[in-house]
Amino acid sequence: MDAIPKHLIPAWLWAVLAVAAMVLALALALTERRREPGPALLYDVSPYEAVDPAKVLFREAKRISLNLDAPTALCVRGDGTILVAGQDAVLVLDSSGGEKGRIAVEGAPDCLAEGPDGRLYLGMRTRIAVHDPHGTHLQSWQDLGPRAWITSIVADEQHVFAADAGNKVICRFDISGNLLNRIGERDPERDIPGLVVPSPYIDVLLDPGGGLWVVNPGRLGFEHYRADGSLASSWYRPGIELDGFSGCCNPIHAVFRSDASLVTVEKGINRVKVYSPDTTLLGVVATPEMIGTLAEAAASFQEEALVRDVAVDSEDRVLVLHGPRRELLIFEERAPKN
Amino acid sequence: MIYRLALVTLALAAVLGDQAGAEYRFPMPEFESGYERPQMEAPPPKLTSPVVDVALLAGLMALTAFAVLKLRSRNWVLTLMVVSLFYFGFYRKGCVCPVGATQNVFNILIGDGAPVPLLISIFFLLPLIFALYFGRVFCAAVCPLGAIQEACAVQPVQIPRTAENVLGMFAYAYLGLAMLGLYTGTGFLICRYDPFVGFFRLGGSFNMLMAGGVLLVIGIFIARPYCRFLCPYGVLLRWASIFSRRHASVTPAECIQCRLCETSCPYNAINLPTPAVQSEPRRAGARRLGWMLAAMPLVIAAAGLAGVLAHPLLSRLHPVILLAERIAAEQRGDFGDLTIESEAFHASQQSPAELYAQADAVRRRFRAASAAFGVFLGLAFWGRMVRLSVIRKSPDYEIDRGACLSCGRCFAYCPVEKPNDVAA
Amino acid sequence: MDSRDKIDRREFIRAAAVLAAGGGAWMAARPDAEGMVWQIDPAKCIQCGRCATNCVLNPSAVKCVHTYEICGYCDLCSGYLQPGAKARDTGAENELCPVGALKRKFIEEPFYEYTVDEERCFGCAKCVKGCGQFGNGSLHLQIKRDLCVNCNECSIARNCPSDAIRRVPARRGYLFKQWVSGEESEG
Repeated sequence: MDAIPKHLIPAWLWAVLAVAAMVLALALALTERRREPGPALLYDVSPYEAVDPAKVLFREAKRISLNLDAPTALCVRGDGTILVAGQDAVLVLDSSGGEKGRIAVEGAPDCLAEGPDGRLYLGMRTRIAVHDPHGTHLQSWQDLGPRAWITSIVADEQHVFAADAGNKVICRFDISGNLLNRIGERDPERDIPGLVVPSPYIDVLLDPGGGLWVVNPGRLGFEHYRADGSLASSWYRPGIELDGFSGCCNPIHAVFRSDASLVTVEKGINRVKVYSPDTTLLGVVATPEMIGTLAEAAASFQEEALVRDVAVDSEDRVLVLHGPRRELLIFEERAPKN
Repeated sequence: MIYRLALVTLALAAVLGDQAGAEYRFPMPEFESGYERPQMEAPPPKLTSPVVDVALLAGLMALTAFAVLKLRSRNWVLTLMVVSLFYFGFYRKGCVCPVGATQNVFNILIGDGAPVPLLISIFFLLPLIFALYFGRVFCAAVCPLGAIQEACAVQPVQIPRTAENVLGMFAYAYLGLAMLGLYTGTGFLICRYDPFVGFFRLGGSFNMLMAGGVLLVIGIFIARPYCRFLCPYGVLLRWASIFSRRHASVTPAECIQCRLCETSCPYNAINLPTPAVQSEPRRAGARRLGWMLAAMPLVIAAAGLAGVLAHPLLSRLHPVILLAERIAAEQRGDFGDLTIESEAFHASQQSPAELYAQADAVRRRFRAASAAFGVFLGLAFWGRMVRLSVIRKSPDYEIDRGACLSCGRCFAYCPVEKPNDVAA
Repeated sequence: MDSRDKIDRREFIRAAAVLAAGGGAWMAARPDAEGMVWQIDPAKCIQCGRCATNCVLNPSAVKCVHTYEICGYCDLCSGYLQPGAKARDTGAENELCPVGALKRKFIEEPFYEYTVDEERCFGCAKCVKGCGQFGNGSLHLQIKRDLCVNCNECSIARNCPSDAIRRVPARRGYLFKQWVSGEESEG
């Protein structure tokens, strides 16, 4: 009873062990760190965003800051003035960017066009609002239904073409607003593949000869229609490389220059490019670096595309409307190298 | 109470009543083939009724109290421990637990004030109330963290009382840190650094599983290291248990000073009898106590100052501080690449100046909280010194009500049998 | 008599302490306070990939979910195909998902349906990023309520760089991306 049992390890050593274990546990806890997700888990398209500088044929000539909330649409009038639509207003700028006035509208037009007679056509989601050349509201045309979402308008002497992204169709109106026919609907008999519009972006445009072109974003290319709705020609170029249209639905906007070269705007990889009339890539107008890379756009939660609209002025300069920056970027062609 | 619990249950059960989220207006395609889109699956949580949780907590504690105080049976305690290890540990995966609930409750007082469901506050309070009446019966058999350690403590040894006392201060520090974490919005540190929950969930970060493993391995010999030296809730239970109405005792009747129980307690929770002859004159003890009392403001001031000095270090627990330091270093050009955090920051609308201002505000909070943390720790240290320097007078082997975990190991060592006629 | 009084007093103080604590807890806990659960706000998520690596569960309780109503049913799905994929077919080398959890099914020309195989998905958000950067963002991450163990401190939330994971009432346990028709949004 009296003999204190002899332990193999003396008590003080147990105390040291206890302290050591505690310190070790605390050190482990405080240095706790999870491994970062490896490259296999990361989505990275930045290699495709890099552009060879030799391919960039344009340079930024001017940058105009816009005093307008949420700019949405752009057009250049015959007299050279620039109209920029945004929340509750259409801004009127002279050709150098000075503000000349503004036209009050209700809501935000998604698109904007000028007819040859100077009348303005504003796409108000489900219907077209017509304004006289000075901006006074004249009339609103028929409502295209609850699914309608007009994202682009062009007008020639006799017709107004409106691209309805919601119903995935181009509506041809006469200039008094009567719906004449619907273009681009799927019709296997006439070999029309149908417009595929997964998101509210579809553009309609006229070439210098007056021909009607429609972006088919879901097929990543262009379709050329006659006025009766028959398909004249088409070209599609899916691909993330520079000469293709990236993602699932591109280009989002396009416009012809006077030499019939075609300026295209993509979302996702935010690049503006120019194609020759024979559909080969000529070069780049604006690189993702100039407009905003994917990483920047995604991290700042830009649900909508950065470039809201594109236009060409009488000098064949390319006007790019940057939504989040509320800026109008004007690009002019570099002097050709000899 | 039943009514309120029922309300909580109803609220929990009514999942998916209304949902909110990002909105999008463009419609999906119209299909010609009659395709119908699948429904989005929104499976509700696998719920355990809070009533069951509370009933089990209370029931297990009541049974443990009965086993410890009336039956004096370690086997009963072990059996209840296994039940609770499986229910609160492996089935409920260590959540909900009173140790973590401490933070939710104190968060109302000193943190962001997020509302606490009744279940959580009941979980926090019940073990304390039981400790006030029956001692730390929660620790004995109901706490899953205690149970997993108790299950590993197969060869317990006694460590010197001095070491026990010093290491025991870690728990006060941890409690203080947890409160600091709440006040500064750093997070729930007790849950973050829970070393055993990874075993219940069968997964976790490598470091925390290792830390848990280290504690369990050393716990083979130095039983329940987390409970004794770290558990912040244990500090509160210790205080409640000191004032407990009834408490487990080594002997069921009169101590016969046989010394058999002397080595039975791995937790150093049995106070040895004091020698009949005082080792020092009464006056010397009184004088020492006087000095102690006089030293109190000094100790507290020094500890508070140490807290203030330590606040830059402590503040690095907060993510905003770490991000601000990283951004500042990146701006100086110390790093070539970005971390995920700094990338997210650069893409956000926030400017570095705003971030630095935010970090300064956090640091100021840390400064105040660290001072309070220091004072708290100084007070705890001082209190323990006072307790150790006061000479107890006890002729018998007595249980230290604060430290005793009511594990029941000592019962079998006592040769005294319970007299039939003696009431407790 | 004296010691008897003392015991009574102690008893009273103990009972008072219990009553005060219980009452305090009663007052502090809201009568209608319900369980809170962790959830991802898809509008804040930046798809960093940490949901796959930081959950205490393996595989993570975070899964990719699909709001079909806002899906374009595209053939060239940027959430399904590698960015540089040449072919649109379902060959594994073209698939973006590292574990093949996104399934593709032909519906009708030119539409394909994409579904998430939850058994395989581990919440890396690679497809979410691909979908969101080029497409409509119909794929997004959510914490599945039936899998989440609802830790008191969510280890993903703590490491989320964009603070996208918050506690929400269990009643609103999911924050799905939603489609709203034009009329509803104006009302």
